[in-house]
Amino acid sequence: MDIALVIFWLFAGVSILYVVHFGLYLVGANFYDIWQQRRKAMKRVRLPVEYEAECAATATWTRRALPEVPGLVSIVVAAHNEEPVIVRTLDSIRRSTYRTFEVFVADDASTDLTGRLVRDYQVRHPEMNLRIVRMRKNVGKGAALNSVLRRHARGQFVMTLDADSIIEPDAITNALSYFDDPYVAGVAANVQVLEETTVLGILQRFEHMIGYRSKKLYSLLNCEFVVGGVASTYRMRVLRKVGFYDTDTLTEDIGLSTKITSLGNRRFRMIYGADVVAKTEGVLTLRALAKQRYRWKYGSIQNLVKYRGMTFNPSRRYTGTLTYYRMPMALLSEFTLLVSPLAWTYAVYWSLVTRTPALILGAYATITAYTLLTVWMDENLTRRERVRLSVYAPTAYFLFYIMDLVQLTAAVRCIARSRGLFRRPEINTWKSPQRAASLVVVTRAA
Amino acid sequence: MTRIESVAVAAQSTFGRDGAMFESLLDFVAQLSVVLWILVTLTAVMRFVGIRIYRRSAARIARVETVAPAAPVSAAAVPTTTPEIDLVQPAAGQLTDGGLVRLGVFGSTAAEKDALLVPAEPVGGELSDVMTTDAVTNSTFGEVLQPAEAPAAGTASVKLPRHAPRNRRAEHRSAAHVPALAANSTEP
Repeated sequence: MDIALVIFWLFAGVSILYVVHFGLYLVGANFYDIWQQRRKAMKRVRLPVEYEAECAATATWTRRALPEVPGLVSIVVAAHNEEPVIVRTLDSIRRSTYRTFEVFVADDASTDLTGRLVRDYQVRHPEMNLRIVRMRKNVGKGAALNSVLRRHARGQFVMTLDADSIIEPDAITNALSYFDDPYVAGVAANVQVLEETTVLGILQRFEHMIGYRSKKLYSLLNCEFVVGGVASTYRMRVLRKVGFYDTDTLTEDIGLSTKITSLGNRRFRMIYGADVVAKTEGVLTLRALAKQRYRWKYGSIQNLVKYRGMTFNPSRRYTGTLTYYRMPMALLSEFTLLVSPLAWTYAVYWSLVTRTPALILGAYATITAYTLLTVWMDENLTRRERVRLSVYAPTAYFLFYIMDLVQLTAAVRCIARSRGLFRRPEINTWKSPQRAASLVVVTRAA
Repeated sequence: MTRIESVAVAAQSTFGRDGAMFESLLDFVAQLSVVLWILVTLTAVMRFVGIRIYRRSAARIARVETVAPAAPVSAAAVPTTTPEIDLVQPAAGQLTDGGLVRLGVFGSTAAEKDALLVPAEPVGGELSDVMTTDAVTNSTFGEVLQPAEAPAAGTASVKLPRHAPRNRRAEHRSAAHVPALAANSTEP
């Protein structure tokens, strides 16, 4: 067996695959933008047909459950020691242009002033339908959300929000507009990182922009199954159908969206709403970033393992793009991440030997152009923000190496603790990372 | 300093071949990139053109919608389903788009459309205008004749009680009752 040849073809295959993939992202995003404008211009009612294949669309309304109030949105904010940021989050909800909502703060046994701040907010804003549901002990984010959704939420729609995130005033209105289509089960929000001037802040901002832009292609191809927890909106009936959040993975939000997708996505599906804008805080230190990414990667792999049955599944319930493209690509990306140092070494070695800087320069030019296109075509950025991010764009190529390193470390740590990927614990508790707002509070206190 | 060319590779015999393959891979990836960038540029142009077209059509629809509510809707254009509804045709002013949306028949928001799919919630008084025929007979929906059971003959223009009220003086009579009473009079 010719090892050199195997490595060459592996490298060639992955390189070509990713070049094509990048191109598809951009092309898909362009078509998504057209579709988005068409959707806004030509609002039509689409009524469901009589026969429904087994999927989330057949969600049943149980008598035991609280009755849904049509048009009401239950916003559930999961909080665990979020005193620096919780008021800002509630403020953003209060400024929403959609007024028919109820807000629940699922206080997961916070030991700081979170509960007191929320109660104070209740007193100051009695017109806001705000309630706090306090857990007696730290039960984990998924279990805390479940507790609120099962016992208290009455809305026809549910929007979940992290306590460190804020929503734009028209986010709820825009999210609900996607549910005009009766086959939309959930809407993923366009999550942006709050303005940061640090290297890590800019890196996370670029990463979020590029990552969420890729969702446009997935949404268009109807193969999206990863919906984050920030400002994601679901139909309550669908959540009841799937039994709300699972608590056996580290990323309960991805677990929920994957669980809904696993019921079938051919007709009932997830949509990415580019105009449902939410902003979240980036982490401040490399250590915190590494910790966050480890948690995300571990949870993602747990879900990929848990729902591995969807990969290459020929069932008519799933679209081919999901089972033969999105799921295998998700697995492949983990593999390519692990072999990326080898590929990088291989590329640099041959570039030096053949004295050809074309690959390095080409990769740099491609990533920079890709970043610039993402910035310029982002419909939610102001002109000033576009100019500012365009100035930073030439550094994106180098910044992504930092992220690659962080992701690689996370992947290695996942392999080291691979037992938990298959034998998942019942409950996963959580701890908030250090955020910019917390530093502001500490500084003020000092 | 050691020159890069002097570094030994694992398979010296395949070195030239691998170098050539690497360069050919570079050529291929470069050509592929060019094709993809052309595709991306073309779709970007399509994006701008498409967005402009749909924006214009949205603006046109918005202009039409701002003009349309001012015009009264003719009663013939309103779909009717039962004879009972015919009797209590709402006024033309109530038949604007907004009125229909409130009835939940042609709802424009997701909430209204979804409300059609979920089990019926108690409907507010202002939404039940079309069913006020029941209020006339003061009976429940189940007691009223359904369209299939309803008599084919048309009802009288003015409904008269079958039995005369015990206290005639107490009954309020408007001017509209006079010709009707005259028409039903047994006197020559």
